[in-house]
Amino acid sequence: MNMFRMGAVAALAMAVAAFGSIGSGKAEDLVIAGEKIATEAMWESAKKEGVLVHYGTYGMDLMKIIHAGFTKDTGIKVEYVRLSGANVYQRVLSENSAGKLAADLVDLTDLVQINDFVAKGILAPHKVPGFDSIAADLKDPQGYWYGLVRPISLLAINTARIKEADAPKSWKDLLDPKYDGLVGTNNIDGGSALSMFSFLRQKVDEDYWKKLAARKPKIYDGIAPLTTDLTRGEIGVATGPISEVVLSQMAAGAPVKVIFPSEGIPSFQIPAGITKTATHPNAAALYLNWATSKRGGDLIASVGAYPLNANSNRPVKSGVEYPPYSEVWTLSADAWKTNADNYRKTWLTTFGR
Amino acid sequence: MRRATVAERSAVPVLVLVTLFVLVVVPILMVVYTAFRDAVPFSGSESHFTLSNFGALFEEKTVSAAINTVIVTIGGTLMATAIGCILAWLAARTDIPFKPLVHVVGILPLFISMLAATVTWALLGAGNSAYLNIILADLGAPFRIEMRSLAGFIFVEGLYHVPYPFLLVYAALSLITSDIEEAAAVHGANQFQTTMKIIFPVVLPAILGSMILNAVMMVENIAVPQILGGPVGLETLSIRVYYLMNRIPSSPTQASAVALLLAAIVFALIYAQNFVLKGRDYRTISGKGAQQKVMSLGNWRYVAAGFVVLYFTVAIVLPMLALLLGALRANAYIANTAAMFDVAQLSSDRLLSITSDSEVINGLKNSLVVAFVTCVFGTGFFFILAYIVHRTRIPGRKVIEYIAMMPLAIPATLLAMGVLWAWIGSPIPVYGTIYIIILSFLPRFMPQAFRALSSSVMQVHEDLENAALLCGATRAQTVWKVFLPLVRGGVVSAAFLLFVLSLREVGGALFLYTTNTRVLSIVVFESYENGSWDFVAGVSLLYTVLLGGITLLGLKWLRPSL
Repeated sequence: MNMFRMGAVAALAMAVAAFGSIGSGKAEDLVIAGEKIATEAMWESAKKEGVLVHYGTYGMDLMKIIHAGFTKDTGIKVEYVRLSGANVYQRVLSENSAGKLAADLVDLTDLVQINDFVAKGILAPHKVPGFDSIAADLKDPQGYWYGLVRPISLLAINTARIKEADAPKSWKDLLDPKYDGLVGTNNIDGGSALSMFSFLRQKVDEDYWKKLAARKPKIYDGIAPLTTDLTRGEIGVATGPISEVVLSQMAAGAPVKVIFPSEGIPSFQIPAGITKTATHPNAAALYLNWATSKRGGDLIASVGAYPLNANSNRPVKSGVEYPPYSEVWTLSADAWKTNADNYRKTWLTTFGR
Repeated sequence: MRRATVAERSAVPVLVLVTLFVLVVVPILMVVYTAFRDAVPFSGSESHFTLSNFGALFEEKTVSAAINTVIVTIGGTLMATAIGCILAWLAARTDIPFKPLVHVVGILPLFISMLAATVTWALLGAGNSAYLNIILADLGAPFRIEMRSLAGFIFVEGLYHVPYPFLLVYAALSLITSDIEEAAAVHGANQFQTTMKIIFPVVLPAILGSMILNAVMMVENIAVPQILGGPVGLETLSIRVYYLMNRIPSSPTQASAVALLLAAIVFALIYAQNFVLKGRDYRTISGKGAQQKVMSLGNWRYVAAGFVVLYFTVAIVLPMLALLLGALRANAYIANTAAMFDVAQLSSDRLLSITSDSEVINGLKNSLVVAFVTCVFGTGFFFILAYIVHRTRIPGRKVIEYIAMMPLAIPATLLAMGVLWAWIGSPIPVYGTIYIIILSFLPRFMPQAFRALSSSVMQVHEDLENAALLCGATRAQTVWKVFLPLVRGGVVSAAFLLFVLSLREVGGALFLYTTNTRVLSIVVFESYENGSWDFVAGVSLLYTVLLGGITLLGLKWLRPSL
């Protein structure tokens, strides 16, 4: 880690803050729609670094749109390496202990794993401008990570298999025997499904898993096979982090529809942090500032996930507006730590996997 | 003539063995080591010796998964071997019409990755909304196809593993001289007897070799149990290892332990093969020339041609049509047969946009570089190894044969991690470059290439080389001028195999690619994970067309006997 450089940046930033009015002749702070994203010093240093290397888990297509918005606003290019959560975790650990960690920014799908990165000294803290106003559950207390992107889990139906009038309106409706043989869901593997099943157990019904397992749903290993079977009508109802894909399919003319269940919507946060060894630390810090701002949040919302900044627009995709931020439930880091292992084991037994 | 000193003579073998050690043995050793530790190498955690990883072997469901694995592997291997041998025999030794095309049919399924093949067959034959079932329903047929079953697993595995027995048996058949058959005929044997008693035993190494190769690849396959078995909870051992690697919390240490079990199975299979082949002589190429006799099929020609067309239709045409439909349709919902072919639903926009997509183009460039280097270096290196094993008396040469098959036992993503652990700490700066992907593909495909090259090497009689050596040629000259031309068919087939396998490999690159070194298969895999099926279908289609084109261009090199 280049402590000297970070120190120098901080000192410079303080100097600029102190003499801001004097120094703002040529270069300027990065301000978008009245919101200050970065100091002049940080922006200039980031521009010199020129590029941000991001190892992450969020879908390539959607992340590309978010990155393109960042590049447009800041001039910094992003190199994105997309892997599954388990693979990002192993790869970052290996690269880091060999002293060859190439990523400036990493994100995962599991809060236990990101906190393991913190414990192993892989991440560097950074406090974004609006730090204090961010909900405690969506950030590390020292600023090691932020839950930048929050995809949600919901219900979706194929209207050729289930008439809209017969569609489930709540999570509880899904347990109705009339849907037997029509229901598909994800296994608990990733953070998204863990959040959804935690929500169902904690907020809907303590015995929800048992009741759902008794209905013998089809269980899919990942979003792609689940949404494909929903679109082609092999199943009639799907539950999981499928809003982005289902809404894209709907826009393409498939007979599918999303349903925001009445009990609320579980989201899961994709926690992201700057690596201590980052070659482009200012670009990474600038990205965190941008993604936690209203501006960055609007862009994240535009691809169909909730951003961390609750002042951002509500997500809208394919003309469907998502519920207000207040209806979104997010699993906290503490709950994650306490329940994750136990939940995963219990789930596998309950669903006979 | 000056005699080469001991040092000079052993220089090449020593160099080769050292390369083998670094390239293949070290990554495998990393995996073996990990099986006995409580934390993975380079994890930043202190690790200790433990046997607890092997507890994963005794977990519930492992037994039923193991039984499923055995059923699918035996069924799939028998199916692939039967089809492959028939095609090879038809192409090499009969007067079947359009013979060169039979050869193409035997190889073509190689171009379809198991991921694309399985997804395609899920769309064609899984559930009531599958294309074939929609057609069956509209025809009023009383039955439906169900690929989400063990029979479905066997069908898909058997269908797409045909090229290995085909290539190996074809190479073997095209090297047998007709003298042997004529001798049998002189002694009163009919054609059937000759085939069963003379030809079959001679190509036995090729058949057994390809069976073992296929069996192990089926044991290791992930796509079939994941895509077809996942939704209905049908599991095999490989998918359990995959979950150990990819579920959170992932456990590469336990995955390594299970991989050791798979390696033990592979050893047992190779040992059994060597036992069966022990004490036999498979040298069919000698100095007496290799005239080949073609068997006349009479009216059976048309039955034989019908068989080839049927296989071609099921393995290639149907999936290609499904891919085309997937690439052209805006969404995957199809109400009935009429809607399936409704032109209003079709658009070529997506397919055309793929051809200009920068990710696809960069991925393709990277893939071609990786495949080319893997192919050239791999063929040369594995040829030398096969030669050492079967032609020299260097101590320890038999060990190479076991080492050569080991990578098959280790699931692709795990082997790639072994490669990562082996190279990430090395001072040679290959990590993060495209070379690390090549270094991962070489051990991964060593079994296939080594096996293909070995069966060719085994068929040539030493007399030919000894004659050259006696006339004063050096060993290198002998290999280059005498030996290599004799086995050209086998070598070209192996090179081609390496090229194609490298082009379609996903798992071996997963841990090792960066933004700039993403290969095409990774681009496809990412799109699959994102759920953009039309993109996957489109790229898979273009991929197949590309590979098909390459084969047609290289066809004349692939048919040594013509």
